Amino acid sequence: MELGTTLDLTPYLGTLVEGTLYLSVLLFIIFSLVLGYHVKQYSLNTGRALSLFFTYVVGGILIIISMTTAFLAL
Amino acid sequence: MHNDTLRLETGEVLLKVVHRHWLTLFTQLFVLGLFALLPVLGWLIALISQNTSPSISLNISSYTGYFVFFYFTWLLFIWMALANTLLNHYLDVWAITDRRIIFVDQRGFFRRHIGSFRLEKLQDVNVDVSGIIATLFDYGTLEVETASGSEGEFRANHLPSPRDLKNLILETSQKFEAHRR
Repeated sequence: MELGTTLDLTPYLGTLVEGTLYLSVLLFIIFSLVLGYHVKQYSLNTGRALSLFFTYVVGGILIIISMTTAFLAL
Repeated sequence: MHNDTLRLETGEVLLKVVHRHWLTLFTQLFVLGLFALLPVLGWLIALISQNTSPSISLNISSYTGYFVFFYFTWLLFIWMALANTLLNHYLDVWAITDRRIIFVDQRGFFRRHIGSFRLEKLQDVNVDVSGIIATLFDYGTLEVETASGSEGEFRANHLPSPRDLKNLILETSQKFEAHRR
């Protein structure tokens, strides 16, 4: 590379970002299903545990919405 | 609900349910919080180093959009780690009933160990509170020795108010023995 030229990584990052978004959403869904199963099956106070679980799901959805917004803004 | 989860016998009365001390959970959550802030720190260092040494052939500020995206991805994984930490904390249980001591050890997803031993086999209960922090916050290790060598010893770390637990176990055991006679 010549001295003074600026490195452009955007063509590689574009593909990486899209793959990361889909994989992360998939992982979140799988993780939430497994977590939900454990909460439902083993918690001592199911009502409280389920409300905490739904807080986790809502928080996760908010982060995914932020991820998607950042992805669309690229 | 306790009956299903802890598999209580008919007529068995649950006296106390104990989770690990809140300080252990707080320490884990604090580390996760630090991890959540780590990329922001890295990004700031990268921005500052670019301004101080212009020879770097990468315009870092033009990648802000990518940073924001990857930072939210990082936060999603931190969020999942937080949920996993909370789950492990709340599913790790020591339960004292009028007949048994039940312990549940959740070792991540799909790895769960449930054990119990009957109070008639109880021989001795030892408490170990070592260190300034453990003394200040009143948590420690509880070790229960059983009469039969086959079941061995049961040990739980970071239990809150271990002396009170010891007294409760010994009192319950004495009542149980008196009731049997």
